[in-house]
Amino acid sequence: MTVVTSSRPIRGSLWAPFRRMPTSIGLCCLWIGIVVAIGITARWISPFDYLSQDPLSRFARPFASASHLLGSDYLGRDVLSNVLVATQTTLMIALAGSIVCALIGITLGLLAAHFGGWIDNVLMGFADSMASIPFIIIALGVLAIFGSSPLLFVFLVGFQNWERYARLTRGLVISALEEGYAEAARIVGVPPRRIYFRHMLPNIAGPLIVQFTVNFPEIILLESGLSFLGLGIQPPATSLGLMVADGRTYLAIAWWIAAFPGVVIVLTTLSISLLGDYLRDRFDARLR
Amino acid sequence: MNTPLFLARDLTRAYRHKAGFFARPTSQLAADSISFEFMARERIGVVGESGSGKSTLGRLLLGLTPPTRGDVWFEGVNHRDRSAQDWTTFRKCTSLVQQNPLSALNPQMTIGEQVAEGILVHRVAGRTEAYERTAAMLERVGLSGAMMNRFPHQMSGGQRQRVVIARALILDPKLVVFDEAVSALDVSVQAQVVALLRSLWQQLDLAYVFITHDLRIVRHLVDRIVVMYFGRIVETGDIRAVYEHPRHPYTRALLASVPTMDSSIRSIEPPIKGELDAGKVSQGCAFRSRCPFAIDRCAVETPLLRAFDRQQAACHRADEFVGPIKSQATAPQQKKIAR
Amino acid sequence: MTGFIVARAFRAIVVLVFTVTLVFIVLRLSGDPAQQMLSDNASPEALAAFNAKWALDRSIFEQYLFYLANALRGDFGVSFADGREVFSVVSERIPKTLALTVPAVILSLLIGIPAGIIAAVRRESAVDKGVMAGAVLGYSIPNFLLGLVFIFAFAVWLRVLPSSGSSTWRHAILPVATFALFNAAAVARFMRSTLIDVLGQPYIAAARADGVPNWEIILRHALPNAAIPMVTTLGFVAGGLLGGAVLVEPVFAWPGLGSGFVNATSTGDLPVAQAMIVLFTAFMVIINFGVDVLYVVLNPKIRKH
Repeated sequence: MTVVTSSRPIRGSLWAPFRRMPTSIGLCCLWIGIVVAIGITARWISPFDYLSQDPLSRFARPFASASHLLGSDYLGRDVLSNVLVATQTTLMIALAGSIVCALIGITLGLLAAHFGGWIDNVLMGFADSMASIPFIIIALGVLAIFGSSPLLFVFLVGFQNWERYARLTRGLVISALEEGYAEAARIVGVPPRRIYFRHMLPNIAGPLIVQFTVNFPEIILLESGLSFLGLGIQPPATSLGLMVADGRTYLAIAWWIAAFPGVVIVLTTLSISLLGDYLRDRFDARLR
Repeated sequence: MNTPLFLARDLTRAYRHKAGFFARPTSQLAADSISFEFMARERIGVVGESGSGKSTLGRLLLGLTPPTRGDVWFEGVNHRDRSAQDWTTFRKCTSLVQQNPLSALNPQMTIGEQVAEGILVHRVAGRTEAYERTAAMLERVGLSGAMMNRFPHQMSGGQRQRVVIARALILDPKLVVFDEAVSALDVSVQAQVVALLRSLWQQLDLAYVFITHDLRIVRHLVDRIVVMYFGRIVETGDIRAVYEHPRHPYTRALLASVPTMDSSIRSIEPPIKGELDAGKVSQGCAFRSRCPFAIDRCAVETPLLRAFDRQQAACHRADEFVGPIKSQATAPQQKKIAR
Repeated sequence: MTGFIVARAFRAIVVLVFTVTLVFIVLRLSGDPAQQMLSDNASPEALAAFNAKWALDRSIFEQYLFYLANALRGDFGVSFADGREVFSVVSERIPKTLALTVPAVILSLLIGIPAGIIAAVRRESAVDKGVMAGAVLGYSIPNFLLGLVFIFAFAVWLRVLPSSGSSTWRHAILPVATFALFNAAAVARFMRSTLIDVLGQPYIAAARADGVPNWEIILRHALPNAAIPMVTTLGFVAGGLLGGAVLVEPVFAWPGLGSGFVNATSTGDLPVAQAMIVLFTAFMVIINFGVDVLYVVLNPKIRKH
């Protein structure tokens, strides 16, 4: 893969792709905006405490009454409130996991590129081995041994696909090191850390941002998958995957318990994926 | 003026190649036993074809590539003995102008940030003064100080190269290595940059090494020339002496290949055949397979640099080459050799 | 070429040994193996027998060798859940998983490859847009959710197919469809981009300029060249199936390796869980090794060296 690392300045052009964008991308941005707003305000805007049970209004149908807009579940809990809080949890985990993932991957990729030699071989060999096994298998294995705790869970989902960041960073840094500007900075006497962060990072940030948009939905899917299997988020906390698992039992009589969180998962991952594809095409057309 | 600015002794750099996982690594000498020195304010030209090791020599001098064997002293201090602190000081005193001005400039940083960086990194001056000096330096290289806020892609090739030169000069270095610094530019822009370099040298306390494959340019820019072939110095000396009385057939061929308006010079010297051959030359003269004057001795004995009046040449028949290249009579007789 | 295969085989073995070692280290780090591997009410004799079998009274290195030797023989101890040999617990689930995955792979290739070819040849057509939309949906919808949608549509609403279990072939239809749809989308997308890439090569333009008919260009010039990168999707498909089995099998209560692994994990049945990790790793390593070898065998450029 040849990667062109010199591109136009990121400052100023960061918002350029968002001018004159197609309607579909506009809708994606709108949905992402809504989800982010929910993520911040869920606890304040939810009409009920998401845990409060109401035995008198179990299995209320959605859109039938103003009090339970999205219906209620088998304990009479408000589905809308649950979806809002679950979205918040899922987003928080995905965000923390994405950041952990980016930090691990970028750091290791940078180390591999900087030192080369056996360090490079060991790191990339490790990346290859991890990539060859589906991550959910590894995650389940870790959860089997250590049990599930929120902190471990965040780090665990953050480990998914770290090797993609590592490989990408390594490739970008190696080709950027061959660019004249990196050497020029070295000759001036700029210390390596400043070369990497001040000179190189802005030049390789585009592909890394695109990678972030690819990684984020994958972490949402992993989180909901593990929570769906009952190995992720544990009650009384809730997440979108956990809600789907909850509603699964009542699929025949109350489809809405599983359907609404499912729709949120799909729309969110879909929007971020489409936006990521669009950004990749617009941002750095030469990167493919 | 007793201590030379730079002193290189027996400088050798081997590059190892590995064809495959199980293949045995082979090594190739990009610089082979190079010894030379120069004083402050001296202007040196290094010429040769691509692959002759001239860029490697520049990198070795600047300590960007560690030598496989041999030593470099800068102001009497060996590169090998430098501490991290010494390196920082050394970096302050030297700089490099690279071939491609587009790639040499960071597309994400403004011109001002890149030129001023040397001052800021070495804490020579504060921010305000750094940018004042940057503006002054930009004007000195023929740009306006207002260009500081531009990005590289907003400038022309010649302007970018001026920026690179400004960045190289901002710390008032004692030595700048120009590595094919004007080769990527149009001829008219080249002439402007060359004129700029000449006038800058007048004003500054500067020595430089000008690496190029283009002999036309170097003639007006340097005091002394080093001709390299296959990692070795084949001829070196005063620029006038070498131009007027080239003692090595390779120098002669290079000079003959320079396009000129003077028809009397053209095609008297036999052109050299083929390309620089990366094959292994373990013994004898590396140039012999392309040399029209090669004799049996050239295959057996590696020629060493021999001193002549104002120059040195590494050729067994160097004393047979007399006078400038245009007089055919002075060239020794050609001899067919068995390859 | 032999050098390449030997190097790849060596790497495959390294990955496998690395995984087994990692499992060993993590298991030892996480506590007393006897307590973890035996249920709480184990008799002292059972404890002693366990310690002797895994050489727990000896040095850690000897323990490691014993562990490796036992793993090689397929001996991973007994399950906590019912005290049966792990080997038989795991191996009886293998055919169940194969019964889902083999038809799913065949189906996804049968759908995905032609769809990808049509999408690549007829750019911007309905098929192309369908393939691209399917591919985007494929990596946006979690597979367990699609399984639930199928259950809702065909079992709850239309009542034509059973929702869970594995007693008849009709039980397999929904899980196979879930798997196949996901893989078909991925295969079609990769086929499309590979073929578009090949169709942009100069030799295709040359063939066009020579007046070679369009269908012949695709069949004789483009497809053989596109087939080589397609081989690499096999590893990708296998990984997708394995990761998918863990989520899709539990949805349909299908008693394969995937739901077995989830059960073992959630009940803390470490002997079964670790055996499955080793099995899955071995499976992926062998698949990837096979893909590498096939890639070299098919590719005349590499074959010569």
